[in-house]
Amino acid sequence: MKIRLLLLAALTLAFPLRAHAQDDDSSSSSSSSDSMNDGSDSDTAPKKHHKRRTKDGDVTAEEELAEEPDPTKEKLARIDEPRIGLGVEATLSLDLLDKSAGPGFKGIPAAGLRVNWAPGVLWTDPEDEFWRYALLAELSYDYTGYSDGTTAVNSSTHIHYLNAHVMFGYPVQKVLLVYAALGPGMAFETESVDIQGSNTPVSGLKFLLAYGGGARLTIQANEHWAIAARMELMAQRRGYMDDVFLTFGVGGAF
Amino acid sequence: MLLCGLLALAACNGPSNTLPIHTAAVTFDPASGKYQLSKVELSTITDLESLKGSVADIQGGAEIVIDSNDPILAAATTNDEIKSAILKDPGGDVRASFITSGDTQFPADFQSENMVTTYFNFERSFDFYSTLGWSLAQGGTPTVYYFPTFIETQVSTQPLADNAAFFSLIGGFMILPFQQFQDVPLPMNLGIIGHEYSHFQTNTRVYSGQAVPDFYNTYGGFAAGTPSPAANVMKAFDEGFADLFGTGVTCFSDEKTLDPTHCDPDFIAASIPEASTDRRLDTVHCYDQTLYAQVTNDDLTTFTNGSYQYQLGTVLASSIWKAAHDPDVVGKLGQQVALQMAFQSVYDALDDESTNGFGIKQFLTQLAGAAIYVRPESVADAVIFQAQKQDDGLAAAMCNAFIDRLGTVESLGQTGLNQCQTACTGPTDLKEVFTDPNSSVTLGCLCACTKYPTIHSNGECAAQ
Repeated sequence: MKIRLLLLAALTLAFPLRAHAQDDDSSSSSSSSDSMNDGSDSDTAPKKHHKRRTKDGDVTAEEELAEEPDPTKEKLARIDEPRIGLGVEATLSLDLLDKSAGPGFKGIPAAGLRVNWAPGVLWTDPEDEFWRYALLAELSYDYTGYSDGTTAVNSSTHIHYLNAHVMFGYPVQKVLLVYAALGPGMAFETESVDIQGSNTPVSGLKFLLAYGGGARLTIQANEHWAIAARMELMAQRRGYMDDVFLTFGVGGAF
Repeated sequence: MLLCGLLALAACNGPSNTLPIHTAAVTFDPASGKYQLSKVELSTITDLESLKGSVADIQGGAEIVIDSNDPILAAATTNDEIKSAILKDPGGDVRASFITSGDTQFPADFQSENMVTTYFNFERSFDFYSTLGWSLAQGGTPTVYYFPTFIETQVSTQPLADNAAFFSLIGGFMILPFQQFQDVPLPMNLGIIGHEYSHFQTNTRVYSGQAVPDFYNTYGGFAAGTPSPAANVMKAFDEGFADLFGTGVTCFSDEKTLDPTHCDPDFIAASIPEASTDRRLDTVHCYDQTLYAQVTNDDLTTFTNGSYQYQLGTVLASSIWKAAHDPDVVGKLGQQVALQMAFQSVYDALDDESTNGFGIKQFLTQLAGAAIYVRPESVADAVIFQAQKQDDGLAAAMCNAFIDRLGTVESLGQTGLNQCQTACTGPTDLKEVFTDPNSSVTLGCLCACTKYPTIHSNGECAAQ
């Protein structure tokens, strides 16, 4: 219960974070992009325009460039960061499975895969760093399974979690995203009951609601991709059971 | 809006509680002699997720500690004080998980299956006892502490396992985790839940629901080192009747009627195979000299530590089972009615408040601690007294069976089965029959009634 409350609190706190980020955008984005771009964006950074007017009042070519939208700007930004915003990560988790036999959790390992996309990388102003990195849409899959029972009567339970969630957070220095996530999905459960040698399989689907938060690190490996890693605490409400995943993931962002 | 919608959807995703609930439980198939997963109906449950209903309220994660050095426990006198002293943590609701397929909600993991089957077995047990006169008003809804941490410091500082029990100190049931027991889990065994439910109704009806029954104190049950034959007998009939009723619950078919073909008098074998020989009801069990010595000379703790309460209990229960299968009785009444009457006789024998009634509760009260009269024969007398109300033939068959199995007591001819004076005639010098004068071989059971004059080598009696 405490963990659930913490997760909900984290989710709630994410929104003030976002508001702060927006407030700060106007004042901080240019300076931060300067420092993060490490001087390599000399082609794209706004240049100082010398106020040199001709006698007849015509603007200079430089002034014209500064006032009109620069069609090459986006292309140049793509050269600066040619990634398309896709990410793939393999994950290992400690799944604190909601205990059916009473209060508490049953800790079991889980493995999974994350495929995500940061639409801001393609669709937002390259200089709007917040929106460029703050939002990701992610598909996640996790699998866990365990057996329980006696020699005579036992069962194997397998749970496949599939959900689509939105990750929204605060990008720190372009390399770290501290995020909250929320999204629906489905859990596919199978159970195989073995009673004195006779086996009965059962399977079914359950609605899933994933929520939680984490931190995702992206370290540029070369101009085309970055190494992505994450640590995450997510709850997956499976029907009315709340499973909590402490997840570590590693993969690539392209 | 989206968040609210998702949360609302998540909140509405619990199992259906529309009665009857169709689910799956592990049940015994008498035809194959095996356990199987069966679709069953639950008709008394109010919340399937937490497995609450009128016949049981299953709670998980409790902590129960009996520490004899605990001053709070030592000072506790009332039921509530005792319960409060040892129930360190009452735990909370369980959360059984289900997979819905058609109209059936299948338990989705082993623990859920175990708990659903536990509830089903409680419901079936309640149905069985209801046919005998038991009602919810008598015992209320008992709490079932599922897989609690149970520590008895005098036994071990580690949590105990491998048991299922009605525990009068907390006024509820405990289903302990399994460790060594790797056969059919205890709560999945209908007979075992029926057995424990018998302790519940006996505690309620004979001992007025007392956490520590006064009768045990009255009859010397708590005097360590002092022989307590009366308290030993009380413990024994409680266990024996529980095995008989446990078998009775297994006789209950899906139609909630007694079906003799469903009965499993060896129900314990599926869960505790090593206990089968000593406790199955359809074989011969004798009150032999060794057991007699234990009953007479042990204090209650020594007696129960040696599990002698089960041995004597099985002597009593197997006698009743034998009588209910007597060919003459079955021929006259039919097997179903014979069984029903036998169970009814035992149930009524526990507490008979009618004028001139003879119930064990009334017997213990009237004797007011005169322990010498609390003997296995007096328990048998109470049952036979009730059987006579049902059918003389059944009472006579009980006399024969009891005398066969209890007949080793030297003084039986004088203070034995008073209820059998008219039902049985025959040899009374039991001591001579008990030991073969030619071979000096102990024969075990005796055949005291003329109806069964021949003793077989296994101690069973027969007409020829």
